[in-house]
Amino acid sequence: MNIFTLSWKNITAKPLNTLMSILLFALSIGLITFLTLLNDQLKKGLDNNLAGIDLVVGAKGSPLQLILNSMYHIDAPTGNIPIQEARPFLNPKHPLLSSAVPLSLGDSYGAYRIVGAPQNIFTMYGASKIEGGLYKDDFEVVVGATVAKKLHLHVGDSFYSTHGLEDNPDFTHDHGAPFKIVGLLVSTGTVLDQLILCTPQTVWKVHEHDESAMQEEGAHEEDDHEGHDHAEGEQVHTHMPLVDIDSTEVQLLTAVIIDSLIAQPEKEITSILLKFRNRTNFQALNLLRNINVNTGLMAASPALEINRLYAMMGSGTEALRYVAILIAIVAAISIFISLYTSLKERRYEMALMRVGGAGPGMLFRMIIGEGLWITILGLVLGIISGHVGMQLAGSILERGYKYQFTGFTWVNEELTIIMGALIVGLFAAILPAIQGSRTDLHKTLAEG
Amino acid sequence: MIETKDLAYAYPGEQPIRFPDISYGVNEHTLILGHSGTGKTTLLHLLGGLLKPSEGTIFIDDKAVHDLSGQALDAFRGKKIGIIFQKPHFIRSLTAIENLLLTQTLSGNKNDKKHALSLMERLAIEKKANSMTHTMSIGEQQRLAIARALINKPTIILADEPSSALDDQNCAFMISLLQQVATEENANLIVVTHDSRIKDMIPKKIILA
Repeated sequence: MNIFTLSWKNITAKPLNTLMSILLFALSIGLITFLTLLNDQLKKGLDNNLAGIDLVVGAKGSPLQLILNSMYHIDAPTGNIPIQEARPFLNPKHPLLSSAVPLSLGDSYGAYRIVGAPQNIFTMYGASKIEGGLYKDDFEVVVGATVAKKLHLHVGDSFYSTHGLEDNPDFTHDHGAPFKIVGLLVSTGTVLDQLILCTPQTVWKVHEHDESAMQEEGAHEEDDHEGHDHAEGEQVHTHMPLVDIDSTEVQLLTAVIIDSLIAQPEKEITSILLKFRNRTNFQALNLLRNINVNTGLMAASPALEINRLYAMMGSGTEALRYVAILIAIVAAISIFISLYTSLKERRYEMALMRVGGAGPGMLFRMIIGEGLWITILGLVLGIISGHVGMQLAGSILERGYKYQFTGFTWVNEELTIIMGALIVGLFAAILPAIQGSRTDLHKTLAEG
Repeated sequence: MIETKDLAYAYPGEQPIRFPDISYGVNEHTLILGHSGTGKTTLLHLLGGLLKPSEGTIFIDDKAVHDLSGQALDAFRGKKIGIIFQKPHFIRSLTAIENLLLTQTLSGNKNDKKHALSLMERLAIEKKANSMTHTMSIGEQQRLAIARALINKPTIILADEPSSALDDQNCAFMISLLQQVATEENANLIVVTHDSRIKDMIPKKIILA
């Protein structure tokens, strides 16, 4: 009979006490694991979506809001800007800029945003494969991988958009042309997965048509016409072949859209995503300040704003982490108390073991073993529940943050958690173990 | 084989208790009789290596037990001495047979389940091998305690008031059972008691006063 087998039998002989300690420990480990996973994935998600974008230009307001809205699609726009003012940045021959993607927001479908942008948005986010093809005409749309999956969309389907960026069926535009899906993007791991993309003109036209329709009819009849129509009543979707996104085609299509935007300087867009030709260029570095000081527009640096965001979020998770550590301390105290009280009850048993030839070291190892069993069980349960929790919370977070979360991943910080937990468990057991190993044979046995 | 000379033990701040010299060969069973407060338990603990004498010497199988300490004493106790206590106590979380196997492990011996079972069979408790000890009757527990004292084939079996909780009939059965198994195992049985009922059951006796 191994001494650690004995430890195991000792803790399972009192299942309720043991369970209490294990659950407390698991709660704390689970919480810490969850926070670690969350932090890691938030950071990775935010970083992925930086997509090499150096500057975002939009209407004056909060720079963080501009970044969140234009790059992460999770906040309201700061306002619109007239193309007249944005024109210099759209110039393909701009000396400082290698690419510029103007964005037009306003509508959504099933809570996923419809973004009007030239096709070079695909290149900017590194999308390379598409089922079907790019949009070429107004009211043609390309759907991100997550949107397609969640809303069960297929190439050839069509739908009506909802006004605003929230899912609200009361604001469905059911006049004018429906959106027709011409392409499904393969997952990019960026915010593109969560977007529906079309030409900027489409976004304008939906609203122009809507306004005129409202004037003609006044209040229209409420019908529960919601959701998308499948083209020609087909039931079985045939999947289109996957094709590479062709960069020359993108350039050509983009040029056409940019030209037509510039030709309508009185129209408005929401913001522009910019990439520098050379990040170390002095003038490029000054562009942010120049725009903010000398124009009616606002420029914001994603890297700067996201770092500010980290700092803010960091203090929140930090606070939660302290709560988790507090629970860990309570768990350690609970292990300590349960070992210590059982020590009192088992004084005679320990004396018997000494009589049988066990040295103090063996009693010490037995009690440490009991603490470690509880710690290891709590640790395993905690790590598993942290990951499962992350997986469950992932679907909720995905809506809010517009990118995917998973519980089935491992981060290196978890090694630190494991080491830390083992040390805490050891610490909780060490006093009872010392006490137990010092059992006075003669006195204990004589007292019976 | 056991031999003591000028043995004395002093509790802190008290007069030392002096014990008569003892000398037995193999298979000599002995009774140590005495009233409360005459140092019966102290002598038993001295012989069992649970206490260190303040004066005098103890030799068991030619080993100077009074000189042993720490690990050497623990190991010696585990291998050479079996003790039966007044009230049978066991490791609560283990079954009857597991208690015997643990006793083997603690003494540094290999686990020998066959030996443990045959011992239980001789004491007629083999059916309880996989029972938790606290579900067994007092009589069964006492026999299990005997099995535990014997499991490592000790030189000396010390029994501390083994009969005090038993009625006359069980008392006689217990003492004869102890003598019988001790003889079979070639061990010295030393029974420490104030129970006058067993005075005549063991011929050799020492009286403490």
